[in-house]
Amino acid sequence: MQVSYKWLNNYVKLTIPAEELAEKLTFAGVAVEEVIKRGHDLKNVVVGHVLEKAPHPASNHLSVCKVSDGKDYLTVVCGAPNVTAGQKVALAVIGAELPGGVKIANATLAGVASQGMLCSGAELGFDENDNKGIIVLPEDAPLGMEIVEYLDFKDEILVMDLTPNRADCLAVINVAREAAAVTGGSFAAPMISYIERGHKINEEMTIEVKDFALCPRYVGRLIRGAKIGPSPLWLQNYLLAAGQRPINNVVDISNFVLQEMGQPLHTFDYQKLAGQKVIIRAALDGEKIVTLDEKTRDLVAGDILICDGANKPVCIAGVMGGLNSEVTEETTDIFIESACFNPVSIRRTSRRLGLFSEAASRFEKGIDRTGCDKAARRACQMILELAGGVASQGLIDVYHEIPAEKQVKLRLDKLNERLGSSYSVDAVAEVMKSLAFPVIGERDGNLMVTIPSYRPDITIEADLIEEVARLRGYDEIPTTVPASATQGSRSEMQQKLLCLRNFCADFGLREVVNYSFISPKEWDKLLLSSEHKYRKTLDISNPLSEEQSIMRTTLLPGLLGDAARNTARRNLDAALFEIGAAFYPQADTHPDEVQKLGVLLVGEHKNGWQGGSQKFDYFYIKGFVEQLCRTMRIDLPSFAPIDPEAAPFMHPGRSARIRLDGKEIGYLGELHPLVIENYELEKGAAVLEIEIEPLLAAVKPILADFELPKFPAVTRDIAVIGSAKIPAEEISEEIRRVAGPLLKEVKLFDLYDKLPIPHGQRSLAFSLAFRDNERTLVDSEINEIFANIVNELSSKWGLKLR
Amino acid sequence: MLQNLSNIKEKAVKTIKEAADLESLQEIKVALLGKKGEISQLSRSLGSLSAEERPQMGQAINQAKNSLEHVINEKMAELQKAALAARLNEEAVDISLPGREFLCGGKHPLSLVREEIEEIFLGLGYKIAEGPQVESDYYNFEAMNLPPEHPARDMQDSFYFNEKLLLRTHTSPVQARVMEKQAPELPVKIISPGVVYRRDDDATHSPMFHQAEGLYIDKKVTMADLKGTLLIMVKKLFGADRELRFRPSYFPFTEPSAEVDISCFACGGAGCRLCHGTGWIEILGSGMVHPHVLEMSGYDPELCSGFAFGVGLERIAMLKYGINDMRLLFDNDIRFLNRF
Ligand SMILES: [Zn+2]
Repeated sequence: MQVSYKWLNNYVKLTIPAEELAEKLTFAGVAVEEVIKRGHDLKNVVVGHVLEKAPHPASNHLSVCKVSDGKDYLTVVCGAPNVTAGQKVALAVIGAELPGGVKIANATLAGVASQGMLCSGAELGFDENDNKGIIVLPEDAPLGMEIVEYLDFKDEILVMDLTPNRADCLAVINVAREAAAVTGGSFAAPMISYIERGHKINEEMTIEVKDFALCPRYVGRLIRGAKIGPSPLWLQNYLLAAGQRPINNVVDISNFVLQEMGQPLHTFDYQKLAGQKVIIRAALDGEKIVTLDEKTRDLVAGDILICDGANKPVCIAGVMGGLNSEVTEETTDIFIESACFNPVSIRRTSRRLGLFSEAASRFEKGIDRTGCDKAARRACQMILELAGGVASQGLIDVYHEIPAEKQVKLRLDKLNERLGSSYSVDAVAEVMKSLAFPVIGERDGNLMVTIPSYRPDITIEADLIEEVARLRGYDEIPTTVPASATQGSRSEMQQKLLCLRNFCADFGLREVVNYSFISPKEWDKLLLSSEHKYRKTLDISNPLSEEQSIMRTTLLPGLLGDAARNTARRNLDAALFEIGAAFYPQADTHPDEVQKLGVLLVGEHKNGWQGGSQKFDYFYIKGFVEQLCRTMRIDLPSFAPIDPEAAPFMHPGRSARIRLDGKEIGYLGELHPLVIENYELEKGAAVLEIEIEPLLAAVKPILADFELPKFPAVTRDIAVIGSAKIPAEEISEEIRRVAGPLLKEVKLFDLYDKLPIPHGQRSLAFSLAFRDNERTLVDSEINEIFANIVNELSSKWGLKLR
Repeated sequence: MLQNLSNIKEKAVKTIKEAADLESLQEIKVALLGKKGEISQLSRSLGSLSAEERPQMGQAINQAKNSLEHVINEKMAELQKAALAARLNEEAVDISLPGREFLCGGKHPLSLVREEIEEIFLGLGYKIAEGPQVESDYYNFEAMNLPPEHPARDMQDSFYFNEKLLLRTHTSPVQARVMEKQAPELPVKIISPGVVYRRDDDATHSPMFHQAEGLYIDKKVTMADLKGTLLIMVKKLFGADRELRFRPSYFPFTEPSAEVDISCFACGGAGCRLCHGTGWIEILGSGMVHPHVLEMSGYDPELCSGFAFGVGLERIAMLKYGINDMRLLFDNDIRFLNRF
């Protein structure tokens, strides 16, 4: 919404500059985004007279004009196709500066000296859209007069940034009411009076509303014998300030009333309405209409149509008129529609057709049903004034019901209790008065307030409390700190999650945040089969793009995307983690949102000048998990071979499933080389993806019964040689089983598989610590256990002592 | 013989003092005091002396032995000290060489901001509440006083899965869920941080972003309390000399509603590029919980009142850390992440 400061002054006498008014309105909740200056600082552009026009000797599209500015004859080279001798024009003389910053100086165009410039409406800042040619002024325009005075368009435009509740301010008079309230001025509504000299309208016109849900009120008035022509300058200026283009007097008047009162009007050529009748009804699927812009529009059920007596569509109600009933230069009889249409229907129709007119945007937000006839009369008055003709007597007013004015109670004690303020009843009554809200009763600080129909946003006491707060100014509300008797704390899970995040960061990983929606193209890059469970996604029905169209079922694509971008920027090594949700659709219920930890390690960690590096491989990422578990007091999970069907993106021989308490909660390991290739990473990568909830549920409390062991441990080392296929973990498990409870710790400390160890075999060395909490162990019993271990490993796997 | 002893001693002291290292000193010691050493040989020759001479001579030998041992020990200490000094000197490194390199991690700026806000409100007695990102239309809109076709739904253009299910456009549904569960028990004091989604994508909007919303409902909570609470928050986030400015605004779930600006921390209010010359920076929306929202969640607006506010974590992070492009927050370039 753009509001002309001049226009506002018709309803409220403003004594403060536009900028100050804008500030006051903004701090009263009717935000003004910007104040645009119109016609300011425009000098040395005068009314000129084109005396001669000659072709330019060197250019086809330029002409050389002899132009008078009232004092001198100037030679002006002009490129506009519409310039002709005899025209009155806007002549920018040497020294003029145009709104775009263009300075007029002596210039030579294609070899001809030019002493000025003929301007278009856009160049003057008069009409942004008028840039097809120079502006042509009426013949009686006084020669030499400053153009800004002649066109009288010096003004300030308030560009409003309205919140949805204040659709009332889509009307200049309602902005004027606000202006009156914030400045202490008094508001005067426009006077409407004229004489109806025509026939009774009932004898000339019929209106039938088929469905009041679609059209709660329809007012029609008629003027006959009007003459279509251009609007006077003041009207054009108001519309231009509001961002609308002047067309002709009747169309301009309907736009003027729309801007002034917020009531969209539609004008029909009465003679083109078959049967002198309009029918308001729902469209049928498949109906068509050619709109004013000469485009054929397909209609669907739910659109609202205005049809003539032959039931032929003549207008898409509230959205755009039909070409077949349009007011043209030949029109003399004008049927004026001032109606109220269903906002939801208008919204759907205008969206579907992509037609966002000033009218539709007002209907969508809901308009004041009580004001329909006032707007129709305002239009009649102006048409009679500016286009002549005869108004028919009376109106046709079809409605189901017109809502009565509401009363809302405002209790002073509640108001002060909500705001923390201490306003008096007089102060509150003063605010109601500034808004012109009638207070019909006051008793013990309780006010009964009548809410005018143009303020449908006010329905309850809290709304009136806001009116008081905003008009007194939020600055007046004190600042207090509520006393707190509550203890703030994180839940146990939140606390653990914080520890997890801290651990990852402290370990040396960088946290990333990726979008929850991803592209379905990721799945092929991850080598997933067509039936893979990750492909069963929750799909956004209105995504911004295919790249962001499905909800992720794994954090991998996001992390890999990060790695790919970093690789492309030559950041080749990265250690990243993300904590976020993955989404799994469930039949008939809310989808599952599973919080996951994803880790992606790309490349290696270099040791610096001492040389060497730690490769981000299977053992690095496994070490991370083990360290995480030790730090957070989680029993080490078990690791089982990966299922290449379930995790085709993982290196089948260098990755594992993670199991905790028998439940699979994630996977880790190195990525499949083809996936590395698909994401164009230059180095290998290791990943971890794990469900957070079961992991954190396994966190054990710190034990409260710790004691240092009283008796020393006896340590023995054992090194065995055998097939490299026997998992080390199974061997240490077997050692534990055979040794029994005296064995407190088994630790692998060496692995050797080079010569002289035969190919396919390896040597594993474990250090064993035995202890009894009650006594000192003797060598002989350890020797016996040790011998049992050796025997068992030998008989089970053929492992030999090294 | 005495003369001989004296010569030996004199000579020995000289050689001991001249010993260059511990090894030669050891050799000298053996040559003098060892079983076959000169002093031992002298002792053995005592037998050839008369009974009168013998004790006198024995005593002299012992004295010489003790004195030589003393000299040797002194020399040894001296040489050991020198050897240690030499070793330490040998072991010296170029201390200007860089230290060993470890991985250096860190949290995302959005996590840092979220935790900072959480800490502030934990300190004020709030709890942290969370909820699903995929929400029902009811909790996201209706329970927030946004019935179907409400024009203000345009303010929050949403991603839908079907007619009933969407990606939450704010964390307010968490508030509705908490209130509904807790009603009519007072107070409700929660902060709900989390991911939210709106169908916008340009230089200043991301289709996914983060919010932290606060809600406080109790008997007689006032708008003045809202001002006081937010003032505590911004002073902790942006410095003790920050001021607040409240502008009337509109949110369907609060009435009255306010947009909140802070005095610019870059220029102190004089006007600069950051604040577009106004001296103020818009940081959050807030208001008194709308009576309809209280009612829908089981609270009687006659008996209690509350305030709510919502702050965008991206905005706070960008302001705090001088990030001029929101896309950097989701781009995850490690050169960017390494700053935090
Ligand atoms: Zn500033």
